Amino acid sequence: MRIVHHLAGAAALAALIGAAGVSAEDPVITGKKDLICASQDIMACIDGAVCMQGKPSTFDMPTFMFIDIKTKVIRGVDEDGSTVTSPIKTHEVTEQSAIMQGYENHRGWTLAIDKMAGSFTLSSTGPDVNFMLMGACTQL
Amino acid sequence: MSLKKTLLTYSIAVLTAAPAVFLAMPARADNAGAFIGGVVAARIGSNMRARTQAEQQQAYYAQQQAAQPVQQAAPAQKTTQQKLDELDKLAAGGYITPDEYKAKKQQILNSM
Repeated sequence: MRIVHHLAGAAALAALIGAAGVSAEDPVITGKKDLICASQDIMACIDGAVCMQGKPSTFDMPTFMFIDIKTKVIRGVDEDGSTVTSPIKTHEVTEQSAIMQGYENHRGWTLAIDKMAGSFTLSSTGPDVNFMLMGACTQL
Repeated sequence: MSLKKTLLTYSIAVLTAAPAVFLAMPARADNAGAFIGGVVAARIGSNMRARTQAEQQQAYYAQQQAAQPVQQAAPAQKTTQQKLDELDKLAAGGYITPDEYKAKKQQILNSM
């Protein structure tokens, strides 16, 4: 848990340094290199009636996700240390964003990353729970 | 200058440590569990259900507690005067005999 906190702090600082180190024209994210993303806020609605907002820790879910562009997979580490993955079905890079989509377990998701700022939103739709993650990514 | 150095150290740390954690995973984890549609969705769903149930329970208990004073508000005890008045009315209406009236009146007076 301490490592995660250190990584979160370090990632934020790295993002700041990275942002300062590149010129205004250079995108932080090219969409062609692997990424590490940290979720900061979550908004979720269940059964179309109740909505809640919180941090990843509020929902006991992993903060970090690693986007492997080459193998087209999003990876995370569960609390027991096991690797969990989501295959990326489509990956498009527009002028402004890197957009990825996928589905699994009767649920679809779309991830859009701002190329200049590195900020992202991920929305996932399923028959019972819909949620949106918001955070920031940095290129590895 | 030292702040810049510290920030640079942190930057190096995250760019070396964090990828190492993830790159240690198998490149193709075909047998791995589902992430977004699995772990994340399940955690969010189960947490929300648990919270919703807890909130509903809390609301139920709050409702029960709010209802309790109403249930406990039993009719106020009648005064001796009221009891005697009622007894008079019963006697006047012929519902009780003079003996019963006397006995009951004595009982009410004794209970003072």
